[in-house]
Amino acid sequence: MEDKLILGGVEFKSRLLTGTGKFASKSLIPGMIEASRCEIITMALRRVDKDSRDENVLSYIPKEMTLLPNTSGARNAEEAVKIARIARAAGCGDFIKIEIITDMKYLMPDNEETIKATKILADEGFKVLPYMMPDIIAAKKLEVAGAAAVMPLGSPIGSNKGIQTRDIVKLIIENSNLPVIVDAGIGRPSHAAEAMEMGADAVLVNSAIACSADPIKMAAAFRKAVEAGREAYLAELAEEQDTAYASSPFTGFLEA
Amino acid sequence: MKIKLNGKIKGFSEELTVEKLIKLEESPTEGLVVMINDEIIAREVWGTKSISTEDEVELLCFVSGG
Repeated sequence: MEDKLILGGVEFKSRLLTGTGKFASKSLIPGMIEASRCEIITMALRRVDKDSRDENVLSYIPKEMTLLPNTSGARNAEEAVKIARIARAAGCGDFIKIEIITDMKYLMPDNEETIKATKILADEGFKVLPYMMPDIIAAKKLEVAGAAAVMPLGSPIGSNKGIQTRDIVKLIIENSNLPVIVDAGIGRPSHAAEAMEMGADAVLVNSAIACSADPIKMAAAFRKAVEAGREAYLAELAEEQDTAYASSPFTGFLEA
Repeated sequence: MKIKLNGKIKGFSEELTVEKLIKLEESPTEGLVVMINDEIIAREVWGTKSISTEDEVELLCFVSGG
């Protein structure tokens, strides 16, 4: 049976979600998508800026991709809900990443407002993927609110510090009835593999790919890491031991 | 006629519909969302929806983001 990721009733082969932010040039995005084989990609909503001559990011994304607009810029549930409704009206589909941030130094998400927004949007038929500060109580509340997954952060956005929150993320994975997607702070393919080995259902990676010296090569590396981590998880990792257990038999013939 | 467009007051010498405004602003239409006074304007009516003086208009589009 094929191992698929199911989000909001939709099946995906890839467990690597990517973002479109921070690329030196948007022309790298199509190659990144191909190398990563991602099927879900994020973007943000902003006012049209005539002066920047910046092309619409949608021009670089193949039509078959699942779009995951985020509510970045939202400071509370009301603003996140507004952005989500606008994104859907623009034809982006029902998936939405809730991102509600008032802390501009560490960009930590506001779990309380995220739960409120999740309830409103889930009731309106959105497939809600809420970006959250790892907290097992909040994760449960998001589940009750109707989220399609939970997205606990590994470490601050763009920090590339890996899964600093691993102990709590593990608890969320163990106790969640929803898919768990580790988002933010994944800086290396080994971090992505670690998340998958822990039992995460997917990871979302943006900065680590976009800011690398070769984003297309890095996207491929992340794809392999996610696949390897997932296979390792399914193969069931051997337990850690506090003492040594020889992997070769002792040679009796060397004893006097 | 003066309207608030993307947060700034802007004057226009002619009557405006949404479609006309988009052309005047040279805005790409793919993924474009238009709001007038906080109401999302359906794409199908861009050609006929008129804009009145003092209306608050937002032209929104998708940009890079994580």
